[in-house]
Amino acid sequence: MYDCSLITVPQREDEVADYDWENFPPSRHCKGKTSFCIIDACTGIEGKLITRTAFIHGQVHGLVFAEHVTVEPMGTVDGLIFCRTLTVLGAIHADVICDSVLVRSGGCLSATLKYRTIRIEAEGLVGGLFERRLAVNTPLGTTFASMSGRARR
Amino acid sequence: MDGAYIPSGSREVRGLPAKPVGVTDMAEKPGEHGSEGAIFIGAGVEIKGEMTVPGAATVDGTFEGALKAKSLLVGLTGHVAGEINVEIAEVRGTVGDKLVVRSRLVVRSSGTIAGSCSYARIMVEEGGELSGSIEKIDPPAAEQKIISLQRGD
Repeated sequence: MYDCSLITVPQREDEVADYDWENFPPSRHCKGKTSFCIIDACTGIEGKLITRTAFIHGQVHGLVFAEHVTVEPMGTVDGLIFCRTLTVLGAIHADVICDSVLVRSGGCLSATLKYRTIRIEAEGLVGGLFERRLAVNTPLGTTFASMSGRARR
Repeated sequence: MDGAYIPSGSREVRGLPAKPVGVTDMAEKPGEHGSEGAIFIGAGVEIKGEMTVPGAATVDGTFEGALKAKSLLVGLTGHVAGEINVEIAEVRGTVGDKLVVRSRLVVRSSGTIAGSCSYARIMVEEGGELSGSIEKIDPPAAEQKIISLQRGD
């Protein structure tokens, strides 16, 4: 088991760029297992959510630090998201740093966003300040096309 | 015969849609946009200045300045910069500075938008790039479905 209180969230640009998701403690701990976290529609969290895969139907105020994050149609996140892949069907008002972001139809992303790849479906809403992160040589550039089906909806 | 070209007229006769699914009006050639005036800026052509185009503006070359048009199609080799105000836009090349799309904005996988971008509806393919300030605006009044309820109707 890992101690999530010891996990530090990358702060500097180079830490973000070089973040090794393969060794992200929740991902390493859950390797080969089907594991995920569901915040259901009547649940609110204030603080930090650190997990491998998060499906958010409820509300999160604070930090979401996960490899894969899906904000479901009724879900909202207000704060900071640091993840590898982000799927938006609900509403996000946050600072977001991720590799790949997918805004599905009906999803709303209002963010200061740093990303590597983005896809917005028709009827998706986006706003804020967007910046594309430059690719680095590490194999972090996971795209939705190359993601395994496990973390996808 | 699967895969064979079927003229649009015969598609309708055979009960198929007039256009293949996924082909938008934006894919039409400039000359096919009715009788409205159109402009085509070919690859290698550079234009600086101010343009008002009642129909479609297709840019495979470079345009810098102020552009007002009904529709804008920026080709793979196209580069548009300045104050752009159009109803619909499809971007396969690059658009910089200030872009206002009053209706539908489509960014293809090779497209890049940098600077300030306002849109009513948006769709971005994976690989497309958005950088800068992104803002949603209200669609034109004609697009809004307003039903007035009057007494006695």
